Amino acid sequence: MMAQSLKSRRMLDAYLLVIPFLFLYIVFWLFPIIHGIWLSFFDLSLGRETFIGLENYLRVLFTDSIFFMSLKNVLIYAGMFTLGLVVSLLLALMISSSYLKSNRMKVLVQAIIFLPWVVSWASLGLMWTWLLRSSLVDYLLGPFSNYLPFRLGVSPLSQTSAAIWILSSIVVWRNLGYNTVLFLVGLKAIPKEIIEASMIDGASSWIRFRRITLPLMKPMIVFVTITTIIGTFQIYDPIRVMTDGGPAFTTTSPVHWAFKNVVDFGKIGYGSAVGTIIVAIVFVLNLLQYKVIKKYL
Amino acid sequence: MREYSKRNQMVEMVFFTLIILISFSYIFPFYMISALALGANAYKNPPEFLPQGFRVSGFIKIINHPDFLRWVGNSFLYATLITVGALILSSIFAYAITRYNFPGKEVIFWLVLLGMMVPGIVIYIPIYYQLAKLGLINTYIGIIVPPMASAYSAFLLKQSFESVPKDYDEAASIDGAGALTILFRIVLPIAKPAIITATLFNWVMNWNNFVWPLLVLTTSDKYPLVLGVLYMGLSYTIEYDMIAAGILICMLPSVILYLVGIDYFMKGVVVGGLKK
Repeated sequence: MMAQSLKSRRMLDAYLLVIPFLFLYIVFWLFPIIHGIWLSFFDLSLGRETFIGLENYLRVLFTDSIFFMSLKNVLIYAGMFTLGLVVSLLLALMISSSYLKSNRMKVLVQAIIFLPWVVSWASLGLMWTWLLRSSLVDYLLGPFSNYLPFRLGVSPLSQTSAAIWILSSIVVWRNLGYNTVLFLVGLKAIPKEIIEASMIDGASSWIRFRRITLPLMKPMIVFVTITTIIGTFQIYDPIRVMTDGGPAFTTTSPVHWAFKNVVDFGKIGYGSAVGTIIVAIVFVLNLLQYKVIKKYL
Repeated sequence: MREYSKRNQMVEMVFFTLIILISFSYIFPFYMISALALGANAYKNPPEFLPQGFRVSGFIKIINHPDFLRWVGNSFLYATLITVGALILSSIFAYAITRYNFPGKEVIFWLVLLGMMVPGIVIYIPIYYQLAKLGLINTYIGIIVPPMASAYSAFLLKQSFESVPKDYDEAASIDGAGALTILFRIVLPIAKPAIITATLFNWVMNWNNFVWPLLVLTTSDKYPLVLGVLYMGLSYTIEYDMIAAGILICMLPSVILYLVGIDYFMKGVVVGGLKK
């Protein structure tokens, strides 16, 4: 009897403790997901609230060339970010290698390249916008003007041939430190005994890399790559600051296009349909990632 | 053997050079924006790489901007209140999840994980619509309350509370301590590193966030600093020294926190990186 009441007392306690966060989370996170799907079935422009069924989706998927352009751009972004991961991995290998003696330098390099990650995209994006607009570009790149994919004299961010490549390079530059630190953690986790044993056996550093480091790092590399690709579908901040999707929508992303419809054109229903498609894609990618984790762990 | 060490020196030289070059690509833009703030004109031909006689006019201009102090105050207010709210809510939640068994616990935590799978940025659209319906657009409540529901913090704190031994709680509860007393007196002090990590991450992320305020705010008196500077930087002014100074001031708090708590940031990458 006593035990029973104690038990229900504890349960009541538990619910009381869980409710504050859960309430806020449901109101501002879970409900909006459902609500976003709901809104995508309506025409919500100019104060109208008309149910139009799947019409928004039909428009997005069959008549919206900019949406498909944004998907094409996502592929470019994903490709560039994956290249960035390769650079991060190489950098992590260099920093952790026994060739480099100075520990202080290793710490310093990590601290420097991680720095942009703690700074707002608003400041970083403005910084690059203003630097690329200056005559520094002409001055530093002038000698190579025949080999550049853009004209000098105008910011490369406003040229259709170059904007997406420059913008994605800046995003790679910003995330390089973050990914390098992540890979360094993975490299540190490789047991020292294995490395030492292979050294005693006289394995060259190339063989060590091929036969020990790479196989042991593989799960982490796969994981970080999928996470990066999932992140690509959500890219918005740098685009909003540096190009706002331009020039001629060559740098827009699905999220950016959704926001543009909602904020600039007031088409909330249409933007929600684009948003819901993104949520569906990201969700599927997440399930894929979950499967991959299960395979490795 | 001599051959071998020669090769080692070669490799070390190559690695060293590459790392120096990469580091330079990080130092140079930050150096250049500082030079602009101090009056180096990089917009004439040839550009100036050094400020001519250290003028602080850029900083004076931005500080004299009628809204500047207000924006700084707003930024501190938003980042601090959101962080405090998010940490209190998520630590109480994480405590309940790790210390109690109750029907629906699995489902609740599963829902939080599920929510983390959905891109937060897309959720801004329906939230924005809801706030508009509730008349909370351009209000302090509208900007501060929604971001407090931080699934990332809940996840991070749950991970760390699991490693706090439960014997302590049991001993305290036999002594008649209530749940909140146990949480604040026993669990939080032991889980301090995770709390510091979550605090730093939340604060910096909310100080840096401009997309959310951009959506919710309509009048410049409520802008956080990053948004105020962003609008000035995007509207074609020629006052590069003022914009550059603004950019630097926006970066300053995040960079200071980063340098003070660098180890915590690196830890946060490991926990968050495997889930962000």
